Amino acid sequence: MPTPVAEVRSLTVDLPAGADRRHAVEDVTLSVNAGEVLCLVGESGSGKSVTAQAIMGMLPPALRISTGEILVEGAPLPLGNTAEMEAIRGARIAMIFQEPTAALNPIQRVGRQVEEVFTVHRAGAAAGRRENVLSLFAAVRLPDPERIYRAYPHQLSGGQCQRVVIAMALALQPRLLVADEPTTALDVTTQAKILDLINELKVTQDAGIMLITHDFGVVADVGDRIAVMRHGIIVEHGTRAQIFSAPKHEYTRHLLAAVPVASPREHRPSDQLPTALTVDHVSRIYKQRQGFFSHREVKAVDDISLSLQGGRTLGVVGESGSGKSTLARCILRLEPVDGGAIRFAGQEIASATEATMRPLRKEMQVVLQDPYQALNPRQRVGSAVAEGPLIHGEGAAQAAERARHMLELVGLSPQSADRYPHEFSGGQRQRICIARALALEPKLLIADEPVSSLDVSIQAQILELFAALQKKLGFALLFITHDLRVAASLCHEILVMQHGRVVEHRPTGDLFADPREAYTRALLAAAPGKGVDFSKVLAAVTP
Amino acid sequence: MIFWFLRKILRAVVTLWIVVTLTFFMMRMAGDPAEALVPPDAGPEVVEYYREKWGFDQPLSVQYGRYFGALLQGEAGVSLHTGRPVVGIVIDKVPNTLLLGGTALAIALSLGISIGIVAALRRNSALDRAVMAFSVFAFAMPNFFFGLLLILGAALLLKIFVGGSNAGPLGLLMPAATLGLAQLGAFARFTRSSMLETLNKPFMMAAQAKGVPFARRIFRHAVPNAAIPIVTLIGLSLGGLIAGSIVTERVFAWPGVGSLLIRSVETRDLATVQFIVLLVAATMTVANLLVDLLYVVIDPRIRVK
Repeated sequence: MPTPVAEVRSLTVDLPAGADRRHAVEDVTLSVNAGEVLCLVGESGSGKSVTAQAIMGMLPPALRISTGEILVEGAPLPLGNTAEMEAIRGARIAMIFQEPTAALNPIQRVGRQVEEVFTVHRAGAAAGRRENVLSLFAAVRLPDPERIYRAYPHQLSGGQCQRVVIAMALALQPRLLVADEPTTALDVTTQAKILDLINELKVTQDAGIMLITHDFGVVADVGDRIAVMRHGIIVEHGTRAQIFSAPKHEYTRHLLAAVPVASPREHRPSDQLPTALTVDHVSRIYKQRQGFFSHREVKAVDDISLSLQGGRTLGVVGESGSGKSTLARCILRLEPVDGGAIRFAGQEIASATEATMRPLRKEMQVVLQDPYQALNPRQRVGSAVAEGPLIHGEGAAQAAERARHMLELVGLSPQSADRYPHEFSGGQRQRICIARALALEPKLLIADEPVSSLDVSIQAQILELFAALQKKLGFALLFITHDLRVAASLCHEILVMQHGRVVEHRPTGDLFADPREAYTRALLAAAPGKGVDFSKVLAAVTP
Repeated sequence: MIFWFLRKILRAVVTLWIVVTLTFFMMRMAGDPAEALVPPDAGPEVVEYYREKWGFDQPLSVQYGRYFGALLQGEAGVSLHTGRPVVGIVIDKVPNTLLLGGTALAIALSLGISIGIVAALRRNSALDRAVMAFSVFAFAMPNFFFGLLLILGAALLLKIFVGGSNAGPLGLLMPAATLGLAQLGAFARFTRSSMLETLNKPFMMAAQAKGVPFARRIFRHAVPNAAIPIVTLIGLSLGGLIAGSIVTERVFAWPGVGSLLIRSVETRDLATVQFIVLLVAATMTVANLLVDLLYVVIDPRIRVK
């Protein structure tokens, strides 16, 4: 029986009075062994991050531990003693965060920030600290440690920042590493590399790793033992084999079912609707100033062509910086186009004036990534949905009626119209955004990463909603995502983008059956959870 | 980087030229200076004599050309009253005003920023509310009135009359406090909100997670980040300080540029007013240039590659 490096015993954390439940976490018991990854899985609000904060002794002031204790290497954490906790944090327990770039001080060189761990814990001689940092950078596979040492966070990619944060956490060889959604904010290929690194560190560092995630795909890649959490309670706890071969709790099955499977959905040939959009050799060039007279050109979108029929969905897949969102803004003419032609609703719009565009705007609508920021917090939901029809000339009563109808159509109650955005969850807000876009009965809907800030289980519901609404309303859908698995389940065709160019553009089934380009294969290989066949897992457990 | 700086300087020079030109024409559109200068009972031939003597009979374009040419050679004309070169008259008063303005800024910055930090760290406490109430009072208080209150208070309680030739630390501190008060309030509020925003950033949590003690988290991580927007405010507050110094100098009979400006406007001493306006504009321009540079020093994100 291995000795656990960390144990949580019947931990209960109270929420302040007036919250929607009494406890943030309730009677949670967990243990992490050395050389093992314990995955704590749950949706947002399940209490998994509160558990992590409790272990770090960093709970927000409003939350109090009412019962339970936390032991590291057999000794209870001195949670009440600030100085003793500061000595333990960063040394015996360390943490990795979700937003790597935001977890670093933006105005300090990253090397200094890692060095600070040695400084505040008075570890080793001051003279050797720089060398220590450089070897840590090499250990987390950062290229050119000397250059990274001198860099500021904004000069590094998200993946590099996460490696720096990991180096910072590993500096004093902690016994327990708490990783809170460490790959959620990263691109798929970067995510795969960071997960590889975590698997490697588990062995080399002989530390226990507690990894918090909402994505069973990630769990499949790194989890040795798994605890599933819901509403602050651990509903199921077991080894990887137990959970994947025989999940007992219904909620675990629900989460497993939500993992997007990287195989294309069957698409019955639909009625041939007229072509809604044609993009012909479109480019968008950004000019970066260099000195007084010269500038450098960056081709954000480089010679892209595509066409899209009503009732069809085209997935544009690429990693951050591939130009997929710029392409969307060009088509919406929220951004000028530097070359090529765009035909929409029978008109050439690449060089159209704003006056020409205005009546067309109603025909092309957009759903954005972050439903928390896409809605005006001071505007009632009904008025947000009715605003478009009102602007385009509909009467007030009629527009309000339409708003209620649209909200019903996206699965919300018509009474939602009188409420404010903050009263809704992330998934519900995204439904509101979809209702707002579709209230104008557009011919073209552009969805820019509409599910990537949502929990995996909510993602599946929103994707189904898109498919159902398209069937009913017949709009053309341009679906932008970084996740091939998500695109697979929804799109008729997929266009893979990299560095502003098309890598591969084919029907979804063909693309998955036989990816031609190396980059497409790399994207497919990077999707988390490839080691587990989720469709089989589910078939085995469905009664 | 060099180009960036040169562009900024070029912009500053253009700004100054616009200021010089605008003041030149506006002062002349406000009325005939010769009329205002000669005694009211002087005959038209006397007015005409002075008009010619000072060149006010020439077309505006000629006057402007002459003035601008002289300015480029470092001459801003002579005072219409004393006949002394304007540059000398104004420069004599500059140290006094700098002393007053500098002390006021130092008070506003040091006190304002520290109570702002304390308020942010003790958010929603009684202390926080007290600081915020005080800062509202500070920038709502007209400085001419607050100055008078101070003079009155000192006279009644300490039996000291502060003003004019009265030297000593109180003679400097009282006008400086009057002048700095409004800026102090602004700095306190600004620091508080900037600190609150920074304290909630993930990197502050990350610093805690790596075991950085509280004081070091605040002073090494939070304050430098929170300082970035405060630097902007320093540049902006300079305008308020200069404007305030004119009134404050008058209230305390402080022998500085502000008092001189009021006297010169009253007597329509064109050359002096023009030069002071130019000096103020130059101060503002240079100060904002320094603020831009300071940004580059503290925020690596805006350094041009």
